[in-house]
Amino acid sequence: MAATARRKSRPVAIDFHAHFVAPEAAAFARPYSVTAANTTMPDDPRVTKKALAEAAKKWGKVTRQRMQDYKIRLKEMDRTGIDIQVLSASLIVQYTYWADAESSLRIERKSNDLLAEIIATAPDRFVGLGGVPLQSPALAIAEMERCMGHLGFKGIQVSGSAGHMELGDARLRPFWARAEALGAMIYIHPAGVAEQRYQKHQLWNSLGQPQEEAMAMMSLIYDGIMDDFPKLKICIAHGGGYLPFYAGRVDRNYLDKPQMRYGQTQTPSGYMKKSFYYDSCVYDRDMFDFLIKKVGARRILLGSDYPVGEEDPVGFVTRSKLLSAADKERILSKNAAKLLGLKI
Amino acid sequence: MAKKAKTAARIKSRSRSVPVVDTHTHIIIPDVWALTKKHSLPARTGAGSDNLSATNIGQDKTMLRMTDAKTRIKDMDRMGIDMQVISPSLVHQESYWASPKKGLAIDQLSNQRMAEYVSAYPDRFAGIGSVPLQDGKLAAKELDRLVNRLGLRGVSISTQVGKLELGDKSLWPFWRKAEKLGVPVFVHPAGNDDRRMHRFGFAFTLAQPWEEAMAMASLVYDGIMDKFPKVKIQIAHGGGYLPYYSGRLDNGYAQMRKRGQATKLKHKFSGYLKKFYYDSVIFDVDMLEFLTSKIPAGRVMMGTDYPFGETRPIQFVRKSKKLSRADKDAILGGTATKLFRLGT
Repeated sequence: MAATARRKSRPVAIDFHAHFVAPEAAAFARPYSVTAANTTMPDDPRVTKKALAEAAKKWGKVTRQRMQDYKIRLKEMDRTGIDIQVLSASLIVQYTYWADAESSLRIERKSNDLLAEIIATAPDRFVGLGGVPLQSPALAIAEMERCMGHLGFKGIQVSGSAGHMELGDARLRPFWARAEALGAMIYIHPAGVAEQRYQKHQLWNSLGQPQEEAMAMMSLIYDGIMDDFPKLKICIAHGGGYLPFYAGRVDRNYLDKPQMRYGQTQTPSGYMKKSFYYDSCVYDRDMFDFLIKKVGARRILLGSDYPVGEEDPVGFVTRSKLLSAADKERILSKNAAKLLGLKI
Repeated sequence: MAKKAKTAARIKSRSRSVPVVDTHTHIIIPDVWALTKKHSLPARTGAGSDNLSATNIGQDKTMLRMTDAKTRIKDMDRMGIDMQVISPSLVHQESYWASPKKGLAIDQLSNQRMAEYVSAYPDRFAGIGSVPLQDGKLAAKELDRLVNRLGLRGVSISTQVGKLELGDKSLWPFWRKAEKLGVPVFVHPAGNDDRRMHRFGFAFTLAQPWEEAMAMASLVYDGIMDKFPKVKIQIAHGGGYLPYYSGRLDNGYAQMRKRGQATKLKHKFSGYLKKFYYDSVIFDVDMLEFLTSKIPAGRVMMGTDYPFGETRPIQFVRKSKKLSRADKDAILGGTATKLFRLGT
C-alpha cells in the first residue's frame, strides 16, 4: 500500500541487493568467515590497534542496527527512496558451505525461517531470497523447494562457488535444473575469499569479490549450464564483477581459438547480453554507463548493497545521462518486478 | 598474401610523423628456456593441460616466431609495425623460483642474449631485460647493468615474487633504482597456477588480468606510487581488470577510511590510474575508449602480445570513433618512442 501511495509521485524502486543477518547463523559461521581470516594490520604506523578496534566497534554497531532493527531498516529505505528490498543473507558473515551438510542445512533453515518472519512484518516492503547448503546438491534442492513453496520466497542466493565445486560442476546440474523448473531467481553473491593473499588492504572485498563473480560466470558458461538451462534467471552481484567490463580477452579466446570453446555456442559476451542479469552496485558512473552499453538496460537491476553500499542508489541510476526515462524505470523496478513476479 | 601486402602498404602510406611501435611482444631464448622450463607455468599447470595447448608452445610456428628474427620481421611488415619492444616471455623464463645467485645468472644470460638479438636489427627491435626480483638489491644492480652496460630500454617483471607482492618493502631498492634510471618497468604476469585456473585456459583468460589487478593494488596500497612518484610502470593487457572496475576500489578505500583500516594514500585509488602506462592488448574497442576516458590517451601504447594476441593492432586503434587522430598517433607510437627512447 505504501508503495502504491509513493508511486504517484515517482517510479517505484526495488533494491535487489540488500542484506540481512540471522544472528544464530552469524555466530555459527564466524570462525570460518572472511572477516575472521582478515586480521592483517595496515603497515602504517599511524594506524594503531586501539584506533582500529574503536572504529570497528563504532562501525559494527551501525551495521548491526541497520541489519537487525527493522524499524531502522524501513526508515533507511524511506530516506533513500526504496519501496521494496529484496533481502538476502550477508554471506560475508553467515556463509555455511564449509560445514558438514546437515549442520549447514540446519543453519540455512534457521536463517530462512527468520527471513520469512522479517518479510511478514512488512510484506509490501520485503521480498526474500533464501539460502541453501550448496555443497550438498540434494539438500540444497530440498531447501530451495521449501523456500519457493512454504516460505514464499522468490529465489535463492548462492556464493561464487560451492566450496570445493565450481558453480558449473556436474554434481550441481540437478540444482540448476530444479531452479529453472521452479522459476527461482538466483542471485550470485560471493562470500569472500579467506586466502591470505586477499587479506591485506581488505583486498578480499575490493578485488576478490569481482574476481569470484568472474569465476562464477565463466564456470556457468564453460561448463554448459547457460546453454543447457536457458530459462535460468541469474543475477550477478556488483554489476557482474570484472567480466562484463573486460570481455575482450575472453571473447577473443572464443573467436580466435575454436579449440578453446567448451560447453558454449556463443561468445562469453553473448551470454552476458542474453543470459545474465546484473545489479547496479558498481560505484562509478562511467562503469554504469559502460555496463548499459554492453548488456543493455533490460539486464540491470537496482542494487545498493544495503547496509554498507551505495548511499544514494536511486540517484545513481536516475542521474545517468545515457538512459531514457523508460530505461531508468526498467532498472529501478520493472526488470526486477518481472523477474520476481511482483505486481507494482 | 598479395592482399595482406597491400594492407601493409596502405597502412604505411597513411604514414604518421612517428613510427608505429609494438610495446608488448615476447621472445623465448632457447638457452634460458632450457633452464626455466621445468618451473614455468605450462609445466606447473600440467603438460597436456588446456593451458599448455593455449600457448601452443612446440606446436605449429609459435616457437619459430618466438625465436627467429627474420620470421618476426616478416610478421611486423605484414602488420605494419616499424618497431617492436621485445621482452623475455616470463610465462616461460621467469627466474624467481631460483636462489638469488642462480636467478641472477639466468637473467644475466637472458639479458646478454636479448642485447645480441636486438642489435642485429637496431632499427626494428628494442629490447627490455629481466631481473632476479627474489632479491631486491641484486635486481636493482642487474637493472643498472642491463640499462647502462647492455643498452636495454627497460625491464619486465612478473606480478608476484614467491608469496611477495610487488610493493613489498624488500623490493624497494629495485623501485628506487627504476625511478632513478627513468626506464620503464613492464609488469607482465608469469602466470597464476591456482588449481581453479587449470580448466578451459582460465590461467590465461581470467588469471592474467587478475594478476595485473593484484600488482596495481599492491603498487598503490603498499605505497610505491606515492614513494617513487616518477617511476614509469606499464601494466600489460591494458592494465588488467582495475582500470575498468575502479569504482569498487574507491568505495572500498572510503569504507576502510571510515573504519580506520586505511593506509594513508595521497589519492583515492582511481587517482593513481593516470600514473601508470598501459598497452592496447584488450581486443575490445569499447574498452579502449573507456580506458582513455579514465586516463589520458598518451598513457596507452599499442601492443600485440606477439606471437599471440592481436593480429591487426593498427586497425584496432584506428577504428575507434572517439579518439582523435593525435590520440591515435600517441597510442600507435608517439608515447612509446619517448618512453623507450627509441631512435636514440
